[in-house]
Amino acid sequence: MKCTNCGLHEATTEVMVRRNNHVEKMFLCGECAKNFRPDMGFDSFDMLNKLINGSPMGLLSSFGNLFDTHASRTLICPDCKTTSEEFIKSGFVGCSKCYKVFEPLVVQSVKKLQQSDRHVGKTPYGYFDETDEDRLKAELKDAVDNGDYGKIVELSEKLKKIVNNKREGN
Amino acid sequence: MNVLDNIIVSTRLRLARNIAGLPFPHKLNEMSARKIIDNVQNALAPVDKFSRYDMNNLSAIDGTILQEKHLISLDLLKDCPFGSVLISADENVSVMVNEEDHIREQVILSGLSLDQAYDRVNRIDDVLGKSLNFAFDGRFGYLTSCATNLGTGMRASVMMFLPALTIQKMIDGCINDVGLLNMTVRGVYGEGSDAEGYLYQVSNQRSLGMKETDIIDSVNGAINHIVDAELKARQLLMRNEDRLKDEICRAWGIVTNAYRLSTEEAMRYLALVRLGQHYGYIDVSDLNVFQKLITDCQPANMQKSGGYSMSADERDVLRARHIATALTSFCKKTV
Repeated sequence: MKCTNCGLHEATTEVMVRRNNHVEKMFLCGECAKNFRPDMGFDSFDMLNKLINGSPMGLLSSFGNLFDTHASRTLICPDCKTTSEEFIKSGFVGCSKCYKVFEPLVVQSVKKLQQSDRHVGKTPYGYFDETDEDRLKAELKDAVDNGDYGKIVELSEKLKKIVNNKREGN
Repeated sequence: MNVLDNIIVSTRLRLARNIAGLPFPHKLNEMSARKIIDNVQNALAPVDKFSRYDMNNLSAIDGTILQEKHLISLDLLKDCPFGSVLISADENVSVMVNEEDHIREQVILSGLSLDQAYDRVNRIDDVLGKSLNFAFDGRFGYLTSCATNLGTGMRASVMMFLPALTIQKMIDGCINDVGLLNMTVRGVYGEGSDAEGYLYQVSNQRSLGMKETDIIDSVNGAINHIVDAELKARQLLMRNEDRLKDEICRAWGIVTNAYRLSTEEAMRYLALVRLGQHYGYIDVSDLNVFQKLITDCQPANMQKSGGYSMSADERDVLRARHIATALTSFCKKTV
């Protein structure tokens, strides 16, 4: 499906948009999702300012530069109904899906807070990411250097799956 | 016993996890919350024998006792009606369920034991991860209800005893220094220079974009920095050795002779006695027992040991008697 905003690229993000008194669904491409801004009225901005100093690790302060009084849209998670305003005010999301819906907000805030927006640590049992072949190879090299046989087997299996998937053209 | 034993009290390492496909705890209904607790309990069965305490069935005192032992958070106790905790027999492992995240796996060990704590919590995480489907994203890592815990979901904390930095009002500077290393310092009982018992929790801020082992290395680096600063501050205190000796001996006199002791008094004087151990004025045969005494003196723990119907005054009398008896059994004044 093409992006419902620009109509040029494939849509990757689903968002709920509140316009006046009704809610509509939009499908955005990565670029439009990046430029998407939530609706925040003046009241919310005042509240945000009050919360900035007391927020956990200054989380909310990182949203300051996302504020756009001219925008008239609020993101709403279709699964748990958490809104972008709630996320900005509290720093909490309601479910895993929220991270996709609020991705542009999350990325900008975690880049400031955590100086990174990409996980490099442990992955859950059985998880593998096809785009992560290089990382797995590097981890496998570390495991070989350290003689960590358990890890070598685990990583080799993950790499084998990726190679097989590529062969099958998936 | 080395110098570090006096300064570093304990290590805590926790991993935050959520179950894929379910709303996070603050959006969860009771039925789903109960199911998660049962599933976590079943998933933990191969690890060890765990005792389960559901918050809605726990008395206020029993809940506070767990909190005073740092086995549960105040948030779980006060704000999570569908919350629960599973605690190992040795009380080194606690798994909070339906607190801020569905699962908070936590290991607490005495002294500076970040590697050992991670090793243990990681093994528990592996076991849980085989039967529970954790919410995970290739970019953000383990998904948590607050973005501050994204990535590894890991918080590595070390409890430190920092009397000299506090007394000489150097603690705020030290907190700023380690803040530059992306660490947070909080009073365990109170904040900043008001931290009771001079006990502080030092922990990592970053959980995303770093491997677990790198986070541990960075916390270790910050701990080394603080230890150096505390040792220098302790040397400065020696400039007025007579006064220092007098303060510590007075504290010893009070905790071994008082008829009544409030929690605040006990914390203040026991901290000076612990500092006396560093200077060799007080001989302490086991600092872990000393730390357990501090936990035992907290209000709810005291209340339980003396009977639930005790008044606050009776509790203070019991506290004084308990401390005097315990201290004289494993500590001795040497000056």
